Amino acid sequence: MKVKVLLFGAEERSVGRPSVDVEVADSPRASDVLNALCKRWPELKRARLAVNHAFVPGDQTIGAKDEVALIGMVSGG
Amino acid sequence: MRVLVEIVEGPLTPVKLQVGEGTGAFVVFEGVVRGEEDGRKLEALEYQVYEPMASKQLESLANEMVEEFGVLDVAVWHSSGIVKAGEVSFRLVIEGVHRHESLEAVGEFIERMKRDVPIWKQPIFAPTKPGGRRSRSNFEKHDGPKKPVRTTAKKSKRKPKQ
Repeated sequence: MKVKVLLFGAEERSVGRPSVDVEVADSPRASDVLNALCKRWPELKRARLAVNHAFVPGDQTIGAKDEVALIGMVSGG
Repeated sequence: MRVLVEIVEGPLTPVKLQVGEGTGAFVVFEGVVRGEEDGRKLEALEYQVYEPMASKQLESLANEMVEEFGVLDVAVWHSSGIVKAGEVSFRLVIEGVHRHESLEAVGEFIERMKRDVPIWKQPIFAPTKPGGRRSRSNFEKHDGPKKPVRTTAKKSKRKPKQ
């Protein structure tokens, strides 16, 4: 299945666009999506995955309607 | 326990704050955009905020401060978009019975915010030559998340006004 991943900050600038689609097996875990991302863009490996606006562990299953975002180093304040 | 979280478009304006009942320490921290970064003249910072996750994370942090440090009130405002040098982009108000836990909670809140809240800033540098171009990196528009909006997570009974 195709998972759309939102990008922000340094990750967005590094990839050059605000979101990317990654192809993974059906009912993927968060770690599957991260691995697929890092295979294409190794510089993203330090980022964490958020699903539906919350950080998730690597074994969290991702559904087709979930909002998936890659959260790298943040810099608020 | 009273918690207030707001994401505000542009700089934060001065706010009239009211000290609550039982408060012995009233700590206000404001983050101001510096006019210089790495020896270069900074014109502004552009903040990118991933909503509603940023507000949720800020609210969660505020609740952690109440539970872990025993403070009475936590109110936080953070800017989205462009904030010029000299303007305020972040305000944290923590009220507690005593100064020790209140001051400690302020430091801890900011540390955790800089680790776990999806907000990013990008410098906009002043032109190095008269009439030169500004060094600026605009964040691209996201079609996924909503645009940053003013969001109130939970209103304090004391209602500090922005």
